Amino acid sequence: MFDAARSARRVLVVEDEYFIATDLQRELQANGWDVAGPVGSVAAALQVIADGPPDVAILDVNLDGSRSYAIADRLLSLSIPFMFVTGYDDWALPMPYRRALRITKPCTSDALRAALAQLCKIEVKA
Amino acid sequence: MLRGLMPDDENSKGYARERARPRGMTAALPPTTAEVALARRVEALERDNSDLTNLLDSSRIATILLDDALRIRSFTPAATEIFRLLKSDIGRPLDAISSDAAYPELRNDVGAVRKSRLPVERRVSDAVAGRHYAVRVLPYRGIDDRVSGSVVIFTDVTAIQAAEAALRESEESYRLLFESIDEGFSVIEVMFDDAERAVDYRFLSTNPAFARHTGLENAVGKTISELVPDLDPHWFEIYGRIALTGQSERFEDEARALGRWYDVFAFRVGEPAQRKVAILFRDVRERKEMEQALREAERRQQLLIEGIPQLVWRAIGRGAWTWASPQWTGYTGQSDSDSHGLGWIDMLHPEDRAVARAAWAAAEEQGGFDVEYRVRNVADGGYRWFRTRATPVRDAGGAIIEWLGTSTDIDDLRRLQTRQELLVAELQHRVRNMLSLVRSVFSRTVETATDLDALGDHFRGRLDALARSQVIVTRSADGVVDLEELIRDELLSVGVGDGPKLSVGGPRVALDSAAAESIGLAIHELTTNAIKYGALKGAEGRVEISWSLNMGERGGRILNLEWLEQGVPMVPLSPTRRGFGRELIEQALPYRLGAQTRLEFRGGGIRCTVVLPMAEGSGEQE
Repeated sequence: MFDAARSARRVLVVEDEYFIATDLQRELQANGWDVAGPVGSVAAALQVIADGPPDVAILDVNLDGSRSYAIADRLLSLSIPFMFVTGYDDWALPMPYRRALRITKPCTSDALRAALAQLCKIEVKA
Repeated sequence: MLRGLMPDDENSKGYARERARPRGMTAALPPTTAEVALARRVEALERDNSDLTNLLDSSRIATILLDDALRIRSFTPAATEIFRLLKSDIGRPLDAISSDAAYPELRNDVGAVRKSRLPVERRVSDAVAGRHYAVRVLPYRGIDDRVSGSVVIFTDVTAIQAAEAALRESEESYRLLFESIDEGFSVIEVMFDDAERAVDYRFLSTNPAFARHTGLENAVGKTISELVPDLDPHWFEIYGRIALTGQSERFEDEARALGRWYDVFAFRVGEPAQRKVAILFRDVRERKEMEQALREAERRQQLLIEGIPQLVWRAIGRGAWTWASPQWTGYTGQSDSDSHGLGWIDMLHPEDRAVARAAWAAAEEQGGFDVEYRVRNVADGGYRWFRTRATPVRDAGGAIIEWLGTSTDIDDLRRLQTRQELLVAELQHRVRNMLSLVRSVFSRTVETATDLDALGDHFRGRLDALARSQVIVTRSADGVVDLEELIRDELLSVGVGDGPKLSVGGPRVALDSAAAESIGLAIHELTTNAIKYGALKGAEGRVEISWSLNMGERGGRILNLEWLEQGVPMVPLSPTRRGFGRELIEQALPYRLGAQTRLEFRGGGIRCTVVLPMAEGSGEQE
């Protein structure tokens, strides 16, 4: 299991639904993560990244009608690993983003922890 | 030289005497008038005799002169080739002279000629030399026209006879040919009127196939007018032209009166003046009928192709069009000829041309293709999606002759498919998001619940509020919610209607689904609180819900919504704690909707204000 507390990692949470966002925040904090955000819009997310890049990111795809792909692009360019937490299946995503790690809403704590562990392992290898 | 040509008879005696007379005498004595005349005559006779001798010697015609007793008077050198004649044979009967030419009738013929004074002709053959002669026996007429003896003339006809035999043989083989061929054959004589216009023709000969091709029996000797009275006159004209010009003609024409079609070759034969034309012909009615049927089938196919809604085309090789249906021109505005070759590619969307080329490159190997590409529409300049299929047309050996293709407009279908995919994706998103939200709301409710009953009540109430806003969202086609309807629904769900305790009012405002969900939930929390602790609990309390639409400070429209409770005797307790309702109004609404909210607990009841920026496209309804 990934030991988030020891690495003192910072995770960006992008989710437009307040209660879901704060649930994620609590969950992550309980697991020893330092949460950046949560934020509910593309502009706010890009601002957070500009202010201080996170180690990893969790992105909702649909942000009140907008798509979070611009954030994904920024993260890719900065080599920051990220995952989508979304209600969409992979076929509904444009081609390049289908390759990203994705967990389906509603997500359980276990699924979230496992995905984060996978994300960090990949990042360590790379 | 003619030996003994002049016979020793009365006619020649005077001549012999004159010859014997010494020339000197005529010089010595002046000649008498009679003597001068005689000398002239002798001179003429000598000249004639000499001419005749030369003529007969050079003619190579075997001529023998006989007297009435068949005795030889004289003969030409050529006669020695037939009879073994010597000069000494003069005076001997001809039938005593040996010859290879068998002529046993000689004596009879000479006798007949003497009697009838008419010539006799006969063919005689020399079997040994292989020669043939035409023999002519003529009566010999003296100067006084008296017949005495005969002239037998042998003409060598070996070559002529051989030619005649060859001709007969040749004629026979042609006759056989014309009798055995499948084509009809006839020779006609074209008949003209005074104006040299062909008006009829007569059959001079026909072959056996003639009747089969025409249905006319025993035509020889009859005219076509007799046989077929109503024959189209152009048949006379054609044959008349050939008879006059000698120009042979090959043509196909219909003989309506016979109900037949003919393939004809006609040419002039014989002397031009005979106006004879030979006709070689064949009844091609069946072929013509098949051609006609084929043309009709093609016409039907064409009608079908041009009637269907697809764009149809034909191509050869790797997509070289040879024909495009009128529908193609109608849709693209490109003419049939401009589409030929690879011209059609110009009408495709530039991004799809590579797809079309690739399909053609693999078409032969795969035996066809089925691709989708966009084609430009001349009507609006836009592109629509077409599904294009190509099927090879093969010959009996399986080789591809050409391609037949159809392009079907699938733009509406594709649009619907895309829309359907979008709808399914949105549905998944909404359902899963809603489940996540419900999950979160449940967690919060559990956290603040004092006991299981309270948990149940609160959670059910919140779930119902979410459900109500969903119902209203899906009720309208464009997914917007009327604010007043949302508020009234919420109040009605707990039995609060218009009356002295409630006033609801404001302009018509349409909220999007996200705003409706959050505002609906907020109204639910305020209502529940008011029933439990506030203005809707006692008899004195009153709730005023009002709103207005205004221009925001940074442009755009904003909604100012106020929940105002009055007449609540004591300060309510619950909302002061960090409850769900308070978090919703103070945290979630700003986070989710960018709203500015204020929740005040005053004497007399709660006052809640929400300043909500309105999304573009929503807001006041007309």
